[in-house]
Amino acid sequence: MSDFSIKVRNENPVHVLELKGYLDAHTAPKLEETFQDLINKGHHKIVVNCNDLSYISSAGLGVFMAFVEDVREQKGDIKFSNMSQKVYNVFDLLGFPLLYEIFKQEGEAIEKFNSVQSE
Amino acid sequence: MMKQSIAHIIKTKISGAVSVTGAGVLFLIVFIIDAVHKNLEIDLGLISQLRNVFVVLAFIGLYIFLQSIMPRRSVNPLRLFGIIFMTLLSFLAMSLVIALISINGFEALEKQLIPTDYLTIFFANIVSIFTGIVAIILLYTIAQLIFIKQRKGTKRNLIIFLVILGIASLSVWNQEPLESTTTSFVFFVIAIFAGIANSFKFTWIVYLSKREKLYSIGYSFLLFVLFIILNVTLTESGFINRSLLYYHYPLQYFVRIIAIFSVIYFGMSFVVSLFHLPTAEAFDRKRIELSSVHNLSRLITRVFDFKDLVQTVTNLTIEVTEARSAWLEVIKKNDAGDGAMEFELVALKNIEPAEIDIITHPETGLRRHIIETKKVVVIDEFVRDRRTRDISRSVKNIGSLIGVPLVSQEQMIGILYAAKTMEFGFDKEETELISTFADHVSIAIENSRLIEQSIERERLQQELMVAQKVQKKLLPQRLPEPKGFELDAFSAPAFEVGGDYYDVIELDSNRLGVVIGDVSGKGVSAAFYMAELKGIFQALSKSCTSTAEFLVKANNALYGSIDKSAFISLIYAIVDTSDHSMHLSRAGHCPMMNLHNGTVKLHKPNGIGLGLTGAELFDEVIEEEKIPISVGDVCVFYTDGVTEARKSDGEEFGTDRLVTLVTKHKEKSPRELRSLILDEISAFTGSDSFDDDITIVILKRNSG
Repeated sequence: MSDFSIKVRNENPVHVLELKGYLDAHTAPKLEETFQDLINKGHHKIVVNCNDLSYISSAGLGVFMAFVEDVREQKGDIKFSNMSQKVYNVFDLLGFPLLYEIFKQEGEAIEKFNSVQSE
Repeated sequence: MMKQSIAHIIKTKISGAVSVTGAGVLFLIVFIIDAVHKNLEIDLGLISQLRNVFVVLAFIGLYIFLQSIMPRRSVNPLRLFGIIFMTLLSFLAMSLVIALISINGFEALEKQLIPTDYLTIFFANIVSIFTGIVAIILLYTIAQLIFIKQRKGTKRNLIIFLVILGIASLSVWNQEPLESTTTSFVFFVIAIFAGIANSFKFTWIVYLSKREKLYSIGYSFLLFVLFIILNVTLTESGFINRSLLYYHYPLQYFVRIIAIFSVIYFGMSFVVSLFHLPTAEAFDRKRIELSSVHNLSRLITRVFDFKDLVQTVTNLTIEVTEARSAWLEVIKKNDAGDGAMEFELVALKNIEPAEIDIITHPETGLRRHIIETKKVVVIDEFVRDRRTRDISRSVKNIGSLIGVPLVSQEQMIGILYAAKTMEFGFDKEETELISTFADHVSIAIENSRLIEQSIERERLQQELMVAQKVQKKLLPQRLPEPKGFELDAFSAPAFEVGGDYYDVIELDSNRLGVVIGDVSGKGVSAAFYMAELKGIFQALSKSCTSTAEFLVKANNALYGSIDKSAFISLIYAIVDTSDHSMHLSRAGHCPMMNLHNGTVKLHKPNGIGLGLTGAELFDEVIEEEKIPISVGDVCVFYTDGVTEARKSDGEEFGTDRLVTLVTKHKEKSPRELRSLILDEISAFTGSDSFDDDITIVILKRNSG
């Protein structure tokens, strides 16, 4: 099926997930695995860079919902950045911008984490 | 077929009965002629010739009778040996009886034999008939032995022997009992040689098991000796020989030739059996090998029961290799990714699972050597071999061990083990044998698994079909027909079941509730939430006066109760037919497309998807919009399956195409518009099936 890949980058203390391709019911388990892995290792500050994400389905959105509560309990968060208009529209339709922080640039998201930490 | 063979048997029986009666009558006539002949000491001439013909005919009759009662094509040589043995014993018993009774016998007179009294004639008749029968049975049974493994020429050689036997016998037809000619002697010798030519047919011995060969040696030797005794009893001056000569010279020739032939045949049979004894074991093993392969091929047809299959395989392994114990482990699931294999012990014989655990231990045991090499591993000395030295302390009674990987389609699917108490128990032949065996086992196991899988798949498919039927019933079977409005709806899951939902309900006489929703994900899990959604809608819609109120309540019901990763997008409209307006609230769903006074507008009041967040945020965000509906207005509700329908190159159908379509066909009825939309999507994607669940509800105001 559609190609989907994830690159994990450590921007201490934040971890950046670069998503690429189609995130749907078929590829969602891959993202789920990555999240589980990060959380198991105690990484709770996560930025999802959607620059190369061309499509996201409800099953893909469900993955973030599954983990957001856990990371927030650990004083972490999932933030988004570099979203294309198309992907943003899907987020927007469901009201996700009310539930998550979405930034234009990845740097801003990381900055946000760091500023909260220094408080 | 059956009837025919029964008819054949009856026919044989009848002809047998007729022949034996005829033979009896002929023998009686011969006896009377003999008795009369004693009184009238004259040359009977033609009558004497007739008498001899009667004897021949009577024996032919007896032969036909014997053929009808003797076992046909008995494949067991030992049984034939038994028949010959019993026949011989009865003959020797008769000789003994004759020796014990004092019979005056014959007087020799100018090459003629004259019986001294009637009793002599009587006994000469009886003895001759009996000896003739014995000879026929012997010939018949030996012929069957020869025919057990028929080769080219077998039949021809036997027929040559029989013909020469006949000629030799008939060569003495006109001779006096004590007369002998060179011609008849030459025929006698030729017949013996023809007999010898038939005494090399011992292929049947090759196919005997070792035990049977030992029996064959014993029997052959016994028969060899008994036949020598028989030949002695047929000496020149003995009563039996003289009786035969007196009764029928050709019969005497016949009996003598067969007696000598039998000595040669069983002498040879003894020697050949003896020579075949050393190879008997190898032959036995080949036979077991063959039968195990045969058993396996039958196994392959019995693969419906996996447990049965693996146990039989384990038992057969022991049978084939004469091992003490054997066991079979299969790989549960071969996760191609990490290469970790999980083994499951599925069958064992004569060994404890604890011992197997030690032997096959993933780190210290034998298994890793087999996995590494993917080849047969043979341990000749279990105690000394470096691979098993350490584990040998914990496992007793094993001298040698073999582990064979089971490979199917270049994938290892399991390992078959066999162990023997003795060291060096698995030689080259045995290793090859068990490897061949393992190939068959692999196929059988793979087939069994495939069948199991397809049965399971079939079962799941059936369940899904049931689920599909049930789900179809969850959608409205009939749509309401509100005054002045026209409605149409369509819904199709991408798979057997889906997560799309719609419903239209008459809340009261002038209010109509229209709902359309989409559960996140696809397939079975989505279908369950869809059913839950239907329950919530049916329960709450009538008690809610506003669309926002319903969504708030629905979110309360769902948030926290459904899986964290699951959520539902929903749009709910209440159409008021009295003031021709629509109240609309949306929870994360696609906008409602409204064609109002000729132009399309997308209505998208704020609202978060159901199940995503708690009341605090959800209730704050939710909005309710009021939309007027004029005559000719069209409201299109849809799920993202419509706008996200994709071409193979990834391009989406999109909202704009839908807007264009609705604008262009604003005059059409909802039903026409719906089918136009679906046709357009199919034409766009180039496929009749959808990748995602797809649902459309269209409402149009027609009048008043």
